[in-house]
Amino acid sequence: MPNIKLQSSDGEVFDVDVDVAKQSITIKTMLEDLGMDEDDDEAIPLPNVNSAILGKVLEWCQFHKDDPPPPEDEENREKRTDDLCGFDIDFLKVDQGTLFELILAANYLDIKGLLDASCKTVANMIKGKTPEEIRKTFNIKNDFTPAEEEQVRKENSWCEEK
Amino acid sequence: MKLNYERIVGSVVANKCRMGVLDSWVKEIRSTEMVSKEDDGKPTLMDLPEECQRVIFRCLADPADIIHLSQTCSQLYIIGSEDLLWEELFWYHFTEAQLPMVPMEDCRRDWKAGFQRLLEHHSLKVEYVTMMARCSYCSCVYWQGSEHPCPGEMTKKGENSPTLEHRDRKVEILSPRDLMSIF
Repeated sequence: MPNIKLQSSDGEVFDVDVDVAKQSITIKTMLEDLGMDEDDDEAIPLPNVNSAILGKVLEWCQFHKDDPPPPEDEENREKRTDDLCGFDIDFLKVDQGTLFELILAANYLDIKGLLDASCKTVANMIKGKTPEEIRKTFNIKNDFTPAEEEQVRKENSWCEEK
Repeated sequence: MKLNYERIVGSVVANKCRMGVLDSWVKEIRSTEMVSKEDDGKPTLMDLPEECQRVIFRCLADPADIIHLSQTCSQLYIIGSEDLLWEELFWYHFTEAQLPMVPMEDCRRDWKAGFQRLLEHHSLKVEYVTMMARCSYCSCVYWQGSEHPCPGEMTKKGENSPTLEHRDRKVEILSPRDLMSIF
């Protein structure tokens, strides 16, 4: 299997199996559309991903390399967040900063499976919490004026009455 | 949290023991204080681009979770109020058959309001991790995804000739309501 080289933002070069790297639609498109030669020795620069995160992303791609391609983004997708596989659950047991770095990398590299799994993990951290608990969990600054907050609370009070 | 200490479940000793455990849990919950995360220079939820925040919103099936997230700040309020999000949630929970309660035109104008109005008449969809299944051949009820000893299967192995029944064996997936109606 041919390999390609990927270079992280901090200059580290990763030698990767092409099929593993092609789970990133960004890299796949780059290789196909730009006609990059596979035995080219030059590394593809990925200026938005540091070596720590790129290493993790490639570990994920390696594990999932035989997965069937993800379904196209259909209108009514399922909303289960308890269906992550054991590997993904352990893989995403990281600190919040790393989790969001993985989301950014998955978004930039266009790896749908990793983006979904990491966003589901964030969703699981949100479920069942009050707005104030969510703010504390994610360090969100409340920028509503007291009047706005009251207004927002009022117009959405129906969801508490189930 | 209020515990009812009046009613005893099980023996007095066991009950006392359980109440002791409960008491210690309640104490622990009360003494736990949520503190804000310290800034470590790494990205936070608010550093994500809108499209990623949108993906997170779309993972939530309970309207209360969506609303709670959108109540945290103005940026998330805007994304959490987007019509497309609520239209998707609408069709996730409700079907065409439930629509007559609210005029379609009203929904198209404001999916969130339409969702709210329909919720007054219908309950939310519930997704179960695993469902029960019933074999139409032997009426055995078992967890979906696991196996059950089926006479249809036995005949096949024993006589070396797949029976008609075996090929016709169908599995019926039971919702909790279906399951209760059996008894």
